[in-house]
Amino acid sequence: MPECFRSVLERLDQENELLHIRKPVDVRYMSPLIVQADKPVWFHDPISFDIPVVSGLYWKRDRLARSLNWPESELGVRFPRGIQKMMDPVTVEDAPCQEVVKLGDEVDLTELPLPFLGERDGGVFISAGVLLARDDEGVVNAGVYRLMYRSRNVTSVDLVTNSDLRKCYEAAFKRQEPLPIAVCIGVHPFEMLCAAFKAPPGVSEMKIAGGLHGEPVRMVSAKTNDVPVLADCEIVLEGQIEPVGWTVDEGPFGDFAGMYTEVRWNPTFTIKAMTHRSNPLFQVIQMPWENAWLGAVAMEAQVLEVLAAAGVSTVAVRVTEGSACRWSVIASIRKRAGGGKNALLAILSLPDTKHAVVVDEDVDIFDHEQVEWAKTFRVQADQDVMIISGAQGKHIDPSLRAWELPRGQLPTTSKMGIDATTPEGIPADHYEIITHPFRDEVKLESFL
Amino acid sequence: MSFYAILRALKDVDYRVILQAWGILREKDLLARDQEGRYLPR
Repeated sequence: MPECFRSVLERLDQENELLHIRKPVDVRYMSPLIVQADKPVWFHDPISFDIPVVSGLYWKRDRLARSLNWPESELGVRFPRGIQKMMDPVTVEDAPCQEVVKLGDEVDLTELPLPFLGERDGGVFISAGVLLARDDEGVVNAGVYRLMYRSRNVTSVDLVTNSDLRKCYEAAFKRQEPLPIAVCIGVHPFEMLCAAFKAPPGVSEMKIAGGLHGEPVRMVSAKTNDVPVLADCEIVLEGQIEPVGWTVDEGPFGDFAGMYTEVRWNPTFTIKAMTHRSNPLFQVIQMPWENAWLGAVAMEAQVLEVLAAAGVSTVAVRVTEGSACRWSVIASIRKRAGGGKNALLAILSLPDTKHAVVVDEDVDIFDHEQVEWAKTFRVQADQDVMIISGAQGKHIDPSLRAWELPRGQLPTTSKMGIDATTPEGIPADHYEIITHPFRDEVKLESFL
Repeated sequence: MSFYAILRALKDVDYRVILQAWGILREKDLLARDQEGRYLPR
């Protein structure tokens, strides 16, 4: 049986990588405690709630790696192996996530210790929900979407960005039908990682999660619709996104870019059933870094994938922290003539990438000085800087002025690529770095 | 008023009670939003 959220916590606990707070805590004060902690936090006693809270698993790159049980240096490399080895989930009859079932009027979201995550947030949000829905071909799509609490059995759901879920919803909305969905909270990090990844069309992200687990993900039929849910998760919310369009106020929200998105207009999610383990845990993804780092792995894996498809021999890739692990990419390549430009075109074709820098294999992309050196001395702006206007953008980028767009409209952005590889025709010895004479023979210690 | 301002003003009120009351206000559509996202009574 694959590992689950709970078994990951047990492993982290054994490694002394979990901070237990057993004192009663007012839920409105959890967010500042999570960001101050140097480990993921388990709040055992949220005041007035029976369900403990766990947060901070993905707050830093090393914590993410620990949760995944991967070496930190292999995050972008291991993820594609899940794609190569993906396997269909299996359906089980009995599932821990359905040990307790509440239907209809029994549903009460205020049983969940919903946190307040950012000062300007428009309310409290469910931030760690993996949302599952079927597309028109019946393929189960998974993604992580914020849900703003509105009432006992209603949240808004953010469908402003151009996402697979938005496509599913648009199809249902066109037919004036609700879209059945299920939201799984407290899932294994592999499943969360895959939900943060944009799988190729027709591929369910949970197949990739199975590839990462090395065995199929266990699913179980939902109680009230035909969307399968993750059998081993902690809590499930089943229901439908209503065919009301982008009409209901949602947000603001301090999002993964580290800034607030403005009030948006979105549809609502009506919860018809809440199921959970007999002693569930409520996971909170604390903004911005937990969401940002989850996205980093998928981004790096996608960059590796498109570079391979473009025939580029890649040494290393990384997303930059300053770009919230998403908008800017640096890649080092073993270049052939024209390879720098081809690499840029490949990287910039990804929907989220706004800026890209490509360097030769002699540059360490984790060393800012070396990257800056390559940009300074291997770039002529009129030949090596690529600008692409009118490409796909994300509302969260303030420079796009998305608040000026009509409701429901998608923004575009300008992308930039910098080819900082050695220009063709310049001999390598022009870039020979100073080495100091007798360095190996003369040691300072001898003269002290 | 922002949600944060509400939580600060009601520091002595049980957080779950606030969520429940908030749910009723939203269910009855008693709140409007201004351009800054602050809540206003309708």
